[in-house]
Amino acid sequence: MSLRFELSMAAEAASRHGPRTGTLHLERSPTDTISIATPGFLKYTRRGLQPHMVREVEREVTALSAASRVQLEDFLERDFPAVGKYSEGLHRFVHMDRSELLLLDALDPTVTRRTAKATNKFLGVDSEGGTKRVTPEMFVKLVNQLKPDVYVALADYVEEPEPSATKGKRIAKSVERIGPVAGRLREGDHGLGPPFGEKLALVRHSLATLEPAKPRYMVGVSSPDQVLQAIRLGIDVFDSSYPYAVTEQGFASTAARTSTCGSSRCLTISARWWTGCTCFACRSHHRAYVHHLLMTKEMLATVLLQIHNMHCYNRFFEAVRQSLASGDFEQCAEKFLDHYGCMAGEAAGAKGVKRAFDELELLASQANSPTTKDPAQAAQRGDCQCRRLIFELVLARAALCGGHYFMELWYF
Amino acid sequence: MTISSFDSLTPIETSTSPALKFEVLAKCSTTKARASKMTLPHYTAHTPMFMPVGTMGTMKGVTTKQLEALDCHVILGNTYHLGSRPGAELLDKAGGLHKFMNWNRGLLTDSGGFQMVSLLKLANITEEGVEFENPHDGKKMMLTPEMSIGLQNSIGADIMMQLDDVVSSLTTGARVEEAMWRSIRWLDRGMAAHKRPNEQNLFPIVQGGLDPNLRTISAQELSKRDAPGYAIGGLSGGEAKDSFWRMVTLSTDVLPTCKPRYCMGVGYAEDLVVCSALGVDMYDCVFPTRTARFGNALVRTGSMSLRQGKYSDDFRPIDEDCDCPTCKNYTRAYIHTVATKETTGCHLITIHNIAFQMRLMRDIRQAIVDDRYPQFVRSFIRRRFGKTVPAWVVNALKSVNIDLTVADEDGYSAKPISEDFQREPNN
Ligand SMILES: [Zn+2]
Ligand SMILES: [Zn+2]
Repeated sequence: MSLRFELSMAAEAASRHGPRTGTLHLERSPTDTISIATPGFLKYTRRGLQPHMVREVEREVTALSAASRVQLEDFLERDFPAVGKYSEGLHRFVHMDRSELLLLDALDPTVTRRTAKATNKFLGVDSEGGTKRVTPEMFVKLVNQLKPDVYVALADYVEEPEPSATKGKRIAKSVERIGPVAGRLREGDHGLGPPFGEKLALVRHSLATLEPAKPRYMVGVSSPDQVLQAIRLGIDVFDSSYPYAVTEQGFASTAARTSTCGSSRCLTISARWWTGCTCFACRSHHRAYVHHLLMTKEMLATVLLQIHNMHCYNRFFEAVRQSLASGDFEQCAEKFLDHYGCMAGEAAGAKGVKRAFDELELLASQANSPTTKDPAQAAQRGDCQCRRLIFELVLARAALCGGHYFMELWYF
Repeated sequence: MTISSFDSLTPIETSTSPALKFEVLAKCSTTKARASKMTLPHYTAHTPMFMPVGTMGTMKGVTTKQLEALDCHVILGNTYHLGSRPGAELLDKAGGLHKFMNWNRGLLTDSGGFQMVSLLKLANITEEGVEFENPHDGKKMMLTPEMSIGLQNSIGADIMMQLDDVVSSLTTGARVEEAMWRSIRWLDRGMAAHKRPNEQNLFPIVQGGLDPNLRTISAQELSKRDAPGYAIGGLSGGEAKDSFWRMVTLSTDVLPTCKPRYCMGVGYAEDLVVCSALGVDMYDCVFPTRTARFGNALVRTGSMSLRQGKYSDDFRPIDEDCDCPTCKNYTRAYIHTVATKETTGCHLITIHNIAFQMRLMRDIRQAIVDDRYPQFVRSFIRRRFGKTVPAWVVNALKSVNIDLTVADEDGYSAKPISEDFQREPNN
């Protein structure tokens, strides 16, 4: 088995930081090769399946990236995970097609607050069965047993010292722990740690010392604005935690990325979902139906939203690669970031502009699905006031950006 | 997934209504079981059939495309729920529930009355209809037989249920008789209010509690109405199972043999096998899909609680004989890790549980067509219960000439026990 990375702008990329396109080839045997175009993304999974999507449903999203990430912490119910006794590999266990690249990582990038700590001997992981210790030896043993195509070496992470740090200045020392595994780069502390602007500076610094011809995966970076900024620096691979976070807020990506299905404006029956969208959900159902499902907290709501959101996210990356190929990436990215007022995190914060793509932060603060029927959990989710505020904010932003749509920039 | 021999069979008995054609294709030579074809406006269903319940116009995160692949012929919607959300106005605009939920096969709706009486404590029944307090604004509202039909006409299901005067199956005395006669009067009002008889079928409901005389009168009265099909109602509400089956078999004895019979709210595997022997054609139950949400998978021996730690390193499928996507692709260990934790866990078990019900019904139909239903029943009961079998099952089957207490050629015989339910088989 070999992993080969082919840069289409090799000479240029070797000399400087900068956006680049390439292809990641995973060759299991001469007749069994997987190719993934970069910039691209790994499908974010929960316990080995994309959120809300069983395999038959996943297949409804056409031309989806052929690479997934699975995190070991999802399987740590016992001290030594039961899956470690399974002899047929992780692909088979989670019923992932062999034509997909599977990356194994220890931690879930969407979890931003952890109580278990890392020590010199092990990585502490919070699980339903209490804190579990993942030692490097155990991790290697599992890697040998589960046979992922790619794995990310165990690494420590930096966490904010206290919750109040979210608003104010972060005290956390911006220590980057880079885990280069066979030439692959792991960057960015699993979503924990310094604000994005600082992260970018660290990425720039780190990339200067790493071999340019190797692929670079920035873990947990997924929102369109951050993806564009990271691509500018030369990051190749991301993951799809962002569309999942969008789904969990009951949103659907639209042209302007912001339509709240929980609002009564979805009560129109005349049109299919989002005009022009060719995804399975939009082809099959009215917007009013999805609204009905959200109002009644039916599970099919998040299934359909996730299908649509993954479809849009996939097309976003297609468009990015296209614009890189045609040479107008810088121009498009600039225009896009300008519209959404989200230049490098803090700068925008200072201007008092709320970031347009904050679903991942929302996900971290209220992890319950919009279809949860448990009244206690629903209350915890802040169903009434604050949720409505979020909706209004997002809608207002859509109006603000009026006309200059995400899709126009990238798709037309 | 259909029985190939089904379509080549010559009907033994046929009834034709404007929106339903029922053809009995095979009859068991021992029991009252029959296998039939029911042509509805949206789909031709094979019976005996189980109809999964999708209260709100959706089923536990499973897409309608998956439901088709699972061989569902008819699914259920609840009128009371659909009437409050999305409401008749939106359903009219959408062109009915079929289009609203994008389901092109059969649909059946209940009258809304049962939900009203069971969900709303303050419901008050008068000759006019069911009076209740609107849970949103506290105002007094009324559901009449005419309104129930109107709402069901908006939903547009292939089969609608009459509004009936629901009394608990544990009620006795004059109230049961009153409810039985009132239900017949409400049926007549509903039939008069039905605006789409060429596109939708209205099924009357046999009532009469656990009183054999009242049941007989009810079934006789309803038979006179020449409806496209009939439902057996007011049961599976906590009554003794030995009373339940007697009411079922009494109803199927009176109702016309050329029309479909629907036993409402029944869905445990043993109930389906026994009631089919008593001549029932259609069933519905929330149990298979509801129990999936709690991590329980159905198997021929009962059910399997996949949350239990013992499954965490069990690398076998839920059921080796099941050909559903879940069993073909996943181990119990994997489902254990997702059960009750991810929505996908619920989806995977729901898919299996629906497939389980559908396969059981296909097996029942095939056994009837091959005229080996008694053998099928015996091997089913043996696997499900082992040596001791609830007495009601033994009694019900004995009434249709299957005597479980007498050893068969495989040497199997059963001992009746007084419990209505038995969790695990006893060998
Ligand atoms: Zn779409
Ligand atoms: Zn199965």
